[in-house]
Amino acid sequence: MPVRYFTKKELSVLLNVSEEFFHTEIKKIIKKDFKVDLKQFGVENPDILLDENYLMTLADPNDHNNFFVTGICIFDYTN
Amino acid sequence: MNNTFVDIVFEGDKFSPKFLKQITGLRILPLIEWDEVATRGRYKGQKSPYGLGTLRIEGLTTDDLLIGLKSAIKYLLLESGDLKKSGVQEISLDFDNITEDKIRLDESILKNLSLLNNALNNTQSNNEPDKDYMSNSFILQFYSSLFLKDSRIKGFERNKEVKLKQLFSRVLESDMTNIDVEKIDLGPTLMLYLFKYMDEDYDKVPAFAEVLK
Repeated sequence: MPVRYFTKKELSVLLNVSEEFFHTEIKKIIKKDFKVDLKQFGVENPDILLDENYLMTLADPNDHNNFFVTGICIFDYTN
Repeated sequence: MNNTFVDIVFEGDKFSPKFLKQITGLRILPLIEWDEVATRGRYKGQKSPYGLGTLRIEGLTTDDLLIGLKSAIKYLLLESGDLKKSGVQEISLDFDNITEDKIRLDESILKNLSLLNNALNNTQSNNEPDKDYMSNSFILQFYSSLFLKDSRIKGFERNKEVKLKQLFSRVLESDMTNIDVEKIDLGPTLMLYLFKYMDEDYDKVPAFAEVLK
């Protein structure tokens, strides 16, 4: 399924949260949730790509061909 | 001037950020509580297999931020027992809102962060702690009450806060190895030092150890 890169601003709008909140809470939980997987492909602070069902793929910011499919929906990160 | 910040991130397999906040009084933001049903994230609806929390260090400028970060890490080193008690296994820094070329981490910050992580995992380190950091414990407690805890002074003018942090950094960097801190009434001396040099140019402020002599 094709995926598209979303900026922090786009993700904040999508989740209806501030960019500050996205950075302070959501991104940190995502990084911790997939820390082990991210370590395996050498990325600490991944870019977030979403498919049409909003399932997350985490990618190397320098090379989006280096990625990890999480199978988790981005909306699971809102209460 | 823009406000800038770094988040100190605490994590652990059985870490309780709420407990850490309770026992230290630090302004911890609990993100995920270990063993509680997660309301968001990968483990939403299940008991979380880890805990996660942050402590934000703010600054008006990157220099101000680094001064604050340096003192905060020193304080955490002093409090590593409480960190362990709450289940913290790893501490890292999140600079997401600052580009790396804008911030140059002081070597002592990295060294103390490494010491801190070693202390949390009971591993031996080749590095020795700053020689006088134990004698600075009182000053660090004082610092944490002003800047890292909920009890901090509200409505304090930001430029004065910056100045006060600079003076604290001057105090914490003083070589106190030849001074018997137990014989000095450190509290009043520190207060006088802070009051006296509050409006002085930073370069003209003598080292705290010099004043004590």
